[in-house]
Amino acid sequence: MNTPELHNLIERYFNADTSLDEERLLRRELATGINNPDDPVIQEACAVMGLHVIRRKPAAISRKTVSPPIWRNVAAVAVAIAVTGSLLSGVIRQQSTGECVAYVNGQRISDRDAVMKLMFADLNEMEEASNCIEASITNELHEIADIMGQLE
Amino acid sequence: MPQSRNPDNMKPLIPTLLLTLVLVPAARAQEGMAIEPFFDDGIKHRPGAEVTAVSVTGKQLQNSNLSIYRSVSVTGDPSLTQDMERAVTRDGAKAESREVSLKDGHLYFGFYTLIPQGKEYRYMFYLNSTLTGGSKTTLIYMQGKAEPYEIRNMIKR
Repeated sequence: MNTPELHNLIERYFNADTSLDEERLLRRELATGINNPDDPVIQEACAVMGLHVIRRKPAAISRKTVSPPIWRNVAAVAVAIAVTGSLLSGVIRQQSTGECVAYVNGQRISDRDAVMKLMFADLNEMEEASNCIEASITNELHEIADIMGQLE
Repeated sequence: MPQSRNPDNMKPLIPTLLLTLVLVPAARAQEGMAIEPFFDDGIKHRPGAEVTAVSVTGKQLQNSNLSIYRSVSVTGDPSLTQDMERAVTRDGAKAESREVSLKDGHLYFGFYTLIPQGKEYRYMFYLNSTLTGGSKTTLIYMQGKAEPYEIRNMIKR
């Protein structure tokens, strides 16, 4: 590309009239094929495009600094393992040894025998109620049988 | 500040969160049921009512072939009894089988075989003895490998 053509392209670049391909071509010309490096127009174009590159670098650098250092990842994994382990051990311990606790009017009872006694007392009440209902059903059936017997 | 937004920081925590989601429901087996609030801590310290709550899990229940036993008995709180009856009726409607006795239009006794959770059967008992001159209402939730006939034998032994 000769100098007038290059000037024309630079002017169009500054006027934002260039296409993407033309910008690529200009960048390539400025980077590799500069015929007149002392030309102020070309120098200005180089400075603007160089500035563009310079401005991108700090962004790349800052992205690097943003990514967490390796010790942070290790710490995060360690915390995850500790939390998981403590949850698991709690559940496993609870499943193996189990819980045996009662509250009577807000007062905690952890004595196993006392708690089991309360548990069986509840079940006994259910048994009594169930027996009463069964007896009641049996009585009703007997009454029906008696009436049917009288009818026969 | 931007470091906290980095999704890489969250990666190690994801398995922990997932595990928590799996384990917490296991610890609260009756979760999602209408009777769940009656086994909460708040009910144990309810003012103006005599409440007895029992929670037994693990090896203490090995002989019964159960993994979870929870019960709550309430005396002197008719509104709580009504709430319990409503909750039991609601959960009982979804039960696989039920043995129910009513008195004066209210639920007096109920034995419900609920839909199993995984490989474990689940049962619910309810007894409102205030309807027959008593003073107590009892709700029991049980879970384990014990089959319905074993539960029947257990309360009849």
